[in-house]
Amino acid sequence: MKKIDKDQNFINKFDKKASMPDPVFRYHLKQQVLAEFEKQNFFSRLLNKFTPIQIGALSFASTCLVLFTAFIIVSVYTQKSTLTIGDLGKGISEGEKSVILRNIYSVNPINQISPETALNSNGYQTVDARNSIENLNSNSANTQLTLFQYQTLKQTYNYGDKAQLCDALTNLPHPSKTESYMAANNLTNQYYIKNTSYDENGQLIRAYQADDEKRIEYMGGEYAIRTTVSAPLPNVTTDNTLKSINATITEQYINGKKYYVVSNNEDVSFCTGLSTDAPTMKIINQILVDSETYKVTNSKYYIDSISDSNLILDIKSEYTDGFAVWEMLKDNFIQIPVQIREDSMTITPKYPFGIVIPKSADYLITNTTYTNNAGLASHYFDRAFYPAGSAGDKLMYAQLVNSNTSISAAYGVVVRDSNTHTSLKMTVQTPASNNSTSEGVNTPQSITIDIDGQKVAAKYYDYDENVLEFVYKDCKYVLTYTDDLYTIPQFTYIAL
Amino acid sequence: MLTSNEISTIYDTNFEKIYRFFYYRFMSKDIAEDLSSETFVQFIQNIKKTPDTIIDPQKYLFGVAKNVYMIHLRHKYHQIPTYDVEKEQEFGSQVDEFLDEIDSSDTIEEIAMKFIVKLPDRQREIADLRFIQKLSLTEICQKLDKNMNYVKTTQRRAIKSLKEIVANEMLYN
Repeated sequence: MKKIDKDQNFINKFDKKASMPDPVFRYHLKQQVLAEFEKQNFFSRLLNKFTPIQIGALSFASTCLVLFTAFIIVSVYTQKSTLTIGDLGKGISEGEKSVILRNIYSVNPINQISPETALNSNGYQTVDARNSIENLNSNSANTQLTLFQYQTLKQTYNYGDKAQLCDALTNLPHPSKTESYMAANNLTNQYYIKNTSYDENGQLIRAYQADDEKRIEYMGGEYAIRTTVSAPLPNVTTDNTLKSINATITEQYINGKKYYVVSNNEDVSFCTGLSTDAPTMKIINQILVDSETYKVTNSKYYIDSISDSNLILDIKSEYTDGFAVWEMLKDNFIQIPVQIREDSMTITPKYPFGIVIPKSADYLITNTTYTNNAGLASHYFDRAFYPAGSAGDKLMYAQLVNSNTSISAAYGVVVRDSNTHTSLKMTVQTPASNNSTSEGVNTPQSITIDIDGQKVAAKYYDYDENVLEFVYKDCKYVLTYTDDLYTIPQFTYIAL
Repeated sequence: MLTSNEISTIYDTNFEKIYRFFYYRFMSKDIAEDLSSETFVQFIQNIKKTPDTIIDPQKYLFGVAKNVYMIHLRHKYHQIPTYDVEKEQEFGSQVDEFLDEIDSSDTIEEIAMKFIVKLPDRQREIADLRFIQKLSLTEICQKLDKNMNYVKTTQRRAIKSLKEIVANEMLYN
């Protein structure tokens, strides 16, 4: 019934009565317009009382006063040298901008730089941590077999006045603090990841721990799950190169240290509901980046415009780096406050994993996830695995909605064109499944696409979201365009 | 320099037209309020900056409205609309013509039909059955011998396309 009413509402919008303005709004806008006009007239009238010579003298006196005030302010701040006295807005060339953005994306977890991940991730970083391990290794000069390079990251979450406007935050239990510990030895291919999230009372609400043999996951329910991994998790490589994204960068000095302030804005719908039809909302992301390490020290997310009253979320990050031996890492394992059950699930990825991306250089892979359905078959469907109460209901719902429950193993990739804001979601399933995602909805067109010069048969479904399905290198690919693309792009294959 | 009385008259004469234009273009009261406010505030601000260069304030007001409209279109549909330069000078009269056409329609369905006819075939068929002939989703499934998913998704696409057609119609036709 609701749907019918909604449809009827849409057609009623064409009604002439519906198009008439609200008289109260009309009146208030008029007052505002006239006030704005009067404000201008006041200064005009004032200036008209003086001769041009008097105006010149007044201007000179005003300029002197402003310069003197500025001198006093700068002197005072220089003496204190504890406040921001930066040279804000210094010009940064496009080339420099590109290098800075690339560095920022390569050394930081995505939840610090992407509004969607930050506001939706609920402080949980599993795959992100895995990526960070790779960054850790690539930056490492470690040559000793026994030494692990480690990095810790502590994040403090403060929610602003507008947090309640974002469903993604209010739907799930959200953390006030998260801690990540990542360690790796690239000579032995050993790694160790620990992520914990705490609520405002300091209670552990989620934990994830993984090394090259096992992983433990705790979601705040009656028990945690320990999974023995039969094969190493496949490497997930993410091209985090930002291309032509509409970010602005300025420099700022804090206590004599140079930082970059990177601001970006995005129209997102996840804040207003789970439906794809949910209205969009403008989220502005402003991050403060250490100019030497490119680490994000502070991420702020605003709605509509940057002001304290529009703040949704403020994440402060602190890092430490160092080296440790395995014995030290073992002591670092999480103390889970509940029973840990063993899971017989094993991860047996079938190679080759790989993804295809459009050949257009403007596309950017913004998110890569790995799911395996064997794990979902058991504890993810058990209500007791999640916290009690409505928060647990929502968490379980979100977990199941966000997981593809029909496939044995898959990569999910989101590719976005930062120029047109067109995006496509992609799942790569292996082994190639015979199930057609779109069966029964519409009759597909048979088309041919080009992947690295090879002609590949594909099915193209044209319905609410355009879907392209094809099999390539033993894997089945399902691409969902979230916006209409009238031409099928050509693809490049990237082996993972 | 304009007086307060003249500004008041310009507002009274044109507010409703501008508001209704934005309303029909984006089918939303909120957007219509935002864009009309933006138009009048920008108009006043521009008068402040260059009071002597504005010869025809009313024409200038519609120039600002057109600019606000195009920026919003670009933002909403992520595309840069083309615009006929010849018609640019007559934006005010185009708004009048558009509203006259709407107001001369007798029923909601008649207004809607002006836009529904521009939909692609399958969407037009569903929109016609649903909005004009008022059939239920189940009735449409039976009539077209299609499943519910098809009807629902096509209807959703039709509404999405309809909004886009209404928003862009003046620029592209």
